[in-house]
Amino acid sequence: MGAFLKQCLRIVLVLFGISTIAFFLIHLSGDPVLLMLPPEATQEEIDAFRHQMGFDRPLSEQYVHFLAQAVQGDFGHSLKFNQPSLDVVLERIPATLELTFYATLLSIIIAIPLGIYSAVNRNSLSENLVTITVFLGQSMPIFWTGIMLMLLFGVKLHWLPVSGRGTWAHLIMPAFTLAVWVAPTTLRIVRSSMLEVLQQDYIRTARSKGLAEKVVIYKHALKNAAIPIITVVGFQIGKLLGGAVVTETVFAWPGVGQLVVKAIYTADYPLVQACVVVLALIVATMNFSVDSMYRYLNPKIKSG
Amino acid sequence: MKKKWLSGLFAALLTVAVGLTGCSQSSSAPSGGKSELVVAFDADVPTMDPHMHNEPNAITTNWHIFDSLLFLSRDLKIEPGLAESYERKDDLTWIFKLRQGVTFHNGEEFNAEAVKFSLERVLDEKQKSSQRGNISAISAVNILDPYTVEIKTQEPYNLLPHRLFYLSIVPPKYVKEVGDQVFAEKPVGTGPYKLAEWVKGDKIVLEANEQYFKGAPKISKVTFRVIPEVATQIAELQSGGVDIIRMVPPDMLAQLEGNPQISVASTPLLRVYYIAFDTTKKPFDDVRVRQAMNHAVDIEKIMDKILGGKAVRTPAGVNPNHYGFDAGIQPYSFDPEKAKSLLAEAGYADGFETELHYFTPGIGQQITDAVISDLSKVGIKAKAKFYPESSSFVEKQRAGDLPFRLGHWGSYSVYDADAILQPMFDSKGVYGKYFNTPELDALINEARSSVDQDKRKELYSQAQQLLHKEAPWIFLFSPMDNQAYNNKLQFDARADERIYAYEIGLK
Repeated sequence: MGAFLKQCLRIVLVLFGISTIAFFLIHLSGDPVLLMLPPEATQEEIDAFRHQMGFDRPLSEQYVHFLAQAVQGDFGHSLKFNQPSLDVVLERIPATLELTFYATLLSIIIAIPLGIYSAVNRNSLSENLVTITVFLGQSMPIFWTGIMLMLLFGVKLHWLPVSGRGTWAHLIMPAFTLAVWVAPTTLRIVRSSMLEVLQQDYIRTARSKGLAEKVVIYKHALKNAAIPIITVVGFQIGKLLGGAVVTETVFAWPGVGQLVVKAIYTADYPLVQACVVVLALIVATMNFSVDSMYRYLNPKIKSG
Repeated sequence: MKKKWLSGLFAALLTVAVGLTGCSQSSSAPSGGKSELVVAFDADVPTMDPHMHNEPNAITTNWHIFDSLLFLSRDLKIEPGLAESYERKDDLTWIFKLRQGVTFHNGEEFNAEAVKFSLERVLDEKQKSSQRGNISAISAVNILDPYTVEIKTQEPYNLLPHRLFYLSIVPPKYVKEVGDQVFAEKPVGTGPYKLAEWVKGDKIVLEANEQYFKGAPKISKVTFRVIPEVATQIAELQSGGVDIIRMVPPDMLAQLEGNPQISVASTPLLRVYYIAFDTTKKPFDDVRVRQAMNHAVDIEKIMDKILGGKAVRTPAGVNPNHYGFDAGIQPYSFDPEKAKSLLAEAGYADGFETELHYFTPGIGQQITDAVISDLSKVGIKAKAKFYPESSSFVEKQRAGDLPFRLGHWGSYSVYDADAILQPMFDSKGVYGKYFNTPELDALINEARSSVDQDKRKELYSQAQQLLHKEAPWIFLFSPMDNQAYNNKLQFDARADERIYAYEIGLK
């Protein structure tokens, strides 16, 4: 219980830090008022609007105000959407979570069998081929992978819808694009952790007892190699959310990633802040869950 | 042997692919029986409240759901809208006769009350409408009878009809009943389409208003899909997922022009690209320097190489689509030798160093690079200064801190020379700090308040001649909007870059 409270406190601290950084970074980057008003706006209108939005107050005062409101879940009205920014973000969160979830799932489906395969067939020609292919996937920019998939499966073959959200078919390409990008990291961990486990005495014992190789690998070895794999998969969520910014734009996927790009571009401060805090909360919660699971799977690890 | 097996498999896969291609095409592309249209938007609309934004996509959406008092025809003529006719009673008074028997989508009646409510809603400072500046010249809206409205302005205001094209008429009872928040999500207008569904960030679906006063639309369902990436838009068009895309970059046109199922239409935009000088600062205070720089840049080449020839020159800043454009003014010739001698006369035989500020990535950068290269050939060493945040550029530009800058101006969709001359060159205009003369001020303001259209034309000609001679800008060009669309559509691009499904049919 103490550990749980400590973790919660940690999340709160992280959110505080992130929102502070976000606040100062975006407030140093120019005045949004001019973007919001029509080109013919007079100086009086500009001044009035600036006052109304509170942009004429000292930065420190704006910051205190921002924090006081943010604690209550109020990030102000989005300048563009003219409604509470948190509402705008929450409307888009399901799409992003859906994409992230399936991308994670897909990356596991790719990484675990291939990781085991390359651990078991270490240094063989086929292992090298797997490694090369997978790392090619990682080194291709997400943007490029996305466009190439789109041209092949959408435009040329007409197998999948090019972009948008709605059906299962819409999910395949964006999820795959993200999965290909993160799978290699998982694969590497699977491989090294399997290699380590396969050298343990109990594996040798299991083999010598005449157990089938499949049973040895999947039942005995994989189970014990799971801890670092779970950790890396959990931490990849943060990376996936970053990748979703590009993927969502390429595939016109209506999630937070697309929203945050637009919000930054149009200097919609309250919206950017709400996006950043919500995304940070997801990542922090994810890491927290990974920690908890880690402790559950390996009681040797002390809480702290 | 193995190879044969592989190629066999490949052939089988291809057959399947082709089979699937057939199916998916028939379901996604518009075919004769179904009257659906899918248009790509580069961004979602911020709100459906037609009075609370200045966004092009939202204006397009509002055009389908709402009507305004006057319409702008495909070839930019003023047409009756919800007003059947209008007249100017005197310099300050306009009378609008309204159409009878029109109802909003919820059954509420359209009448003078709705007009008064809509105009006053935008004018009300508490409403914080970003469109207030457009009609702030209006001093009063009076109901003369249920179908006659009188609009009064503080000063004579020629642009009033132009300012009413984008001013949507909203239902007063409904707006008051549901409140602004709900109205912004569930709009109700008199237009040819009703809002059926809005999935934020994804799509807007409209369905035909069968009771539309000009007759039911030919296309029964219109979807605006949010697709931020141009490459994705093009892929969608090629696969039949969308029917119309806008603003295709010139370098991608060739690829589309080769596709037999796709047509490309290029229509002139009102937007004007320019490079402006601060004529109060050295060395740009010398007219010879400014003229020299106009001669030094090969604008035809820029139009050709960067815009694929899809642009028209604007010899004195005014766009050919602006009312009052003087077609008689010849653009500066490309003449580096003349530029050099003018620079020498001005005392800059060895040129000078300067910074060219710009904020538009992509095409803006390409133009900047070309201009800097041309200027270097006459001895002027310019460095490019890019602003990734357009807001900081606009801020500095407003403050008068950018002595040499690449910009563009869309005239806020007002097809009148005033919409560019006043903000740019009147001393009271937003960018008046950079160049103004009492003579030009007088011309602009006289034309602004004059009722006599021939006289206005003459005044604008004089203003353009003066601008051409004084060269406060390197006069560049106006780009075209390249729209690409599915061949099954009966589609003529409008001259004002709007897409209006009511005018589109299927072959």
